[in-house]
Amino acid sequence: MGIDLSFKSPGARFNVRCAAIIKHEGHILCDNERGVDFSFLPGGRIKRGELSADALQRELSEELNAEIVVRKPLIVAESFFSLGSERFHELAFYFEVSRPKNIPFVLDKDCHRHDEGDSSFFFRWVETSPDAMAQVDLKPGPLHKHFVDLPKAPLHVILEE
Amino acid sequence: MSNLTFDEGINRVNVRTAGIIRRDGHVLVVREDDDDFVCLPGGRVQRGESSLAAIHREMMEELNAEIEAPQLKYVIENFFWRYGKRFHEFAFYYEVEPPAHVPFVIDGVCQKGEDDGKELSFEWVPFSANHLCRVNLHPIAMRTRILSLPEAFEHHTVVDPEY
Repeated sequence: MGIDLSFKSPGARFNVRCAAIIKHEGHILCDNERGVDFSFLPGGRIKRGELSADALQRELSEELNAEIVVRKPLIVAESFFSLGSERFHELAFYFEVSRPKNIPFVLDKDCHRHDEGDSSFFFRWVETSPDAMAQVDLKPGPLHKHFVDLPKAPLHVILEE
Repeated sequence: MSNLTFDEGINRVNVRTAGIIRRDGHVLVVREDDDDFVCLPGGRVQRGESSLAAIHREMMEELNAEIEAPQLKYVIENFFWRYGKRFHEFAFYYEVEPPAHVPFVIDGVCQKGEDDGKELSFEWVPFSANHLCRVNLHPIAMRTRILSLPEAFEHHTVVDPEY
């Protein structure tokens, strides 16, 4: 398997990511990295030569220790944003994924933890209400409404910060 | 600005956008120099550029056409070999209305152009898979995806058999 699809040039980075929309009883599974003040959806970088759906299965197997079923592609997002001193150009593929059986549906505390090198990741079910989602600062913000009401047909969005 | 093309050895990662321009049962294809294959008109997306901005820019550069309201029809993750390179390509295909000034001449080259020092020859080809095979349309994934276009866009993953 090839390198991660993440390519740096001075001051800029191009990334290709996959992410999982995992919903259960009015909640969505969010991922938080220790020391990072926003949340994101479970997933990660796609590797060269790897299909996006395969990448998602690999990432969730690493992060959630779960065999997942990728249901269908829901959103393709082209995002342009800044993080630290870098300008990001990101392609992201969002898939609807069934709740992994090993991830408990517990609220008001972390439902799963994953350590990777020096990083720790905490997973939490967040209610898909605007208030609750604003509190965890789930990125990318403009997609919240689509996480609440999943698009009926695949959606293409261009997000310029 | 630089293109979203990343080479390492024989591996290439590439982001492309192209126009599906259909008219009376035909689709507009383009040949670069004397290549033995044709493509849909378009080109590489640049860093910091959306696929939508890129399709507007490419149609202007290649066809001198100001296009209106291109409709995204496919996002294809495509794995294939070309020019001795192993491609992992993300391609955004937009349906584009035929530019009025491109002549609808269906026996041979209908228009010439130039891009990056390469000669471009445009042709209208019947958009059945048979005809698109005969003219060797690349990538192969597009031979069967032009005859009927989806209402909204679709995200497909296509791995060529020899990849």
